[in-house]
Amino acid sequence: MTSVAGSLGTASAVRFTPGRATLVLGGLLVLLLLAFVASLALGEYPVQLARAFAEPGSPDGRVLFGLRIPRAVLGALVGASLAASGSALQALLRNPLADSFVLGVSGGAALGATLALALGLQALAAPSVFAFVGAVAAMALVLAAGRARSSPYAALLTGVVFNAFAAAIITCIKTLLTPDRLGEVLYWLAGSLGYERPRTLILGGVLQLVALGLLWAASARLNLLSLGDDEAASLGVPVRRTRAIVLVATSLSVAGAVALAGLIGFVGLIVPHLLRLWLGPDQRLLVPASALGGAAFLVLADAATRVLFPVFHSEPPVGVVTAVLGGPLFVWLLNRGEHPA
Amino acid sequence: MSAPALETAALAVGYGGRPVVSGVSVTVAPGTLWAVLGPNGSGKSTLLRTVLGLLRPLGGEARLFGTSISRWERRALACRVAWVPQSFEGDPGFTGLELVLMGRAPHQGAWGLPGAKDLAVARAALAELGIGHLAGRVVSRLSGGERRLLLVARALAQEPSLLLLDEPTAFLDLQHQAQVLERVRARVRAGLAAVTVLHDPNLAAAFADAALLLRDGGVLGQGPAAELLDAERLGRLYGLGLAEARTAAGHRLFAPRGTP
Repeated sequence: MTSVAGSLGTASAVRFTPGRATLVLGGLLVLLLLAFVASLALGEYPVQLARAFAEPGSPDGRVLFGLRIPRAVLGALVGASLAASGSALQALLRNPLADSFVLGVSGGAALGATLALALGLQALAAPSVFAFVGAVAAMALVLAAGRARSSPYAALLTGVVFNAFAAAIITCIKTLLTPDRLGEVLYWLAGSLGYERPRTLILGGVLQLVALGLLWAASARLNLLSLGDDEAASLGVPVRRTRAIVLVATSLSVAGAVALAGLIGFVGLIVPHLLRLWLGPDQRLLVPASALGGAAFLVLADAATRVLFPVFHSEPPVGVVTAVLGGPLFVWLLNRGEHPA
Repeated sequence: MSAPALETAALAVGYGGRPVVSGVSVTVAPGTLWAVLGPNGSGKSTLLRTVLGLLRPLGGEARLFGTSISRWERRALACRVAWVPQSFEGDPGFTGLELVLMGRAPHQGAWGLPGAKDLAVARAALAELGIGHLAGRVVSRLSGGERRLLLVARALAQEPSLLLLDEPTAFLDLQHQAQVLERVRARVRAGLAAVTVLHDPNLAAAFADAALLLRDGGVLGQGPAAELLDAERLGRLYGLGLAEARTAAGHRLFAPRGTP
């Protein structure tokens, strides 16, 4: 283990090599698997994993296969989406503070879900469907507004303005709601992992696989785009096409994640920045590493909400856990300087 | 005879439909170094950007290696033409070698995995500029001058036939100013065509074969540097009185006359 850590820690002139990428991604995959297994055992109801696997019909087996595994899969999907999209957007928008939600996706999704909850539409996973539609609509609007100008800041600013606009409408809706519906809206907005059906998880998994695959395929060009549009073009990058691919892939990915889990903040900011301190800014490594690291982070954060159940007599939304962990960590990261050697 | 690296005819360039400079007709042959001189805002950088295909020409025509710039595919163009921008605004977390290797991107597959040749070319470009020690350094820890040198090394690693440099000597100390232009000069002797924006007429007189003088939205003069550059013409270019002297070796030197 020391030899692995040693070779990873060595600063070298070229940090992206197939050998190092395999080591790093393999290590993160092991971390994700450990987090996954640990999260299965953690919770108010203590599950004996051995008994659950031996007797799937036992109470342990039902909790494991019916509740814990689907929820951990959901956490992994959402964490991977938010972190990998955050990394790609930070490079594309050349802004270290960009997170997965900057392109108006959060505002659109929140508006959609709030509308569904306010109207009392609970059947057929209406809040999720409305959130996805809202996120995609917001994304289309922001991309259309950004098209007129070639600057990536146009998309960024339009997204920020749209999020503020959506927040105002949501506040307006909230003031009109009855207390019980207001509670549902607040819980959704805080971001939490629920129990989705296998079919929903498979659909979400396919969406994430396609979207994150597109991002990884574009990651070498993303490195060049992080230099600036003109420099990237002078190095042979088809700038408009690459930017469109990355924006659409991240937006679809985040829309899918938000539809399933609400607004879980900080994952898209913290995970890529932590990994970047370790791995450097190369997106060919950062995008897949963020996906694995983000998945592990959210699975653990969600397990923490279950561990906290006896303390609060209810599960805090996982978005609260990520924010409580993420906020101080991020301030600490910023203060220790952006780019260590 | 092969087509010239760059050929423009009555080219007009500018932003948002408003020309900054027009009527540019130059022919840059392989093995020649052109200097573009002119006051701030005279359209020097805009001209380079238009030639690179980053801006649409507002009039006239520009051809690279015999083909109109609008017909070039981005990647094919990047294999032939390299650009040294005025400043580095990218992610300063990359190392020197990682940055220079990006110059190999147009020659590589979509994933940009460097082969042995790419690494050799990139390291050679660093060595050529005497900055091999910057290979493993992170850009955020480097000075403005060192960053410029890396951008020049990246352009050399691109192995272009035409090199466009936008004030390559800005931020550089005197030794590195001369060194960069000497290295470009050496590449030009080996057949490279180069166009460089310069602010110092002394460097233009010392290193360029030909010069293009831009002022007031047009071309004030163009031709062989030895004939074109004199105190009277440069004085008109920059709008101030210039004195001219010659060194013992016969090099021309220009300096503001100053107030008496």
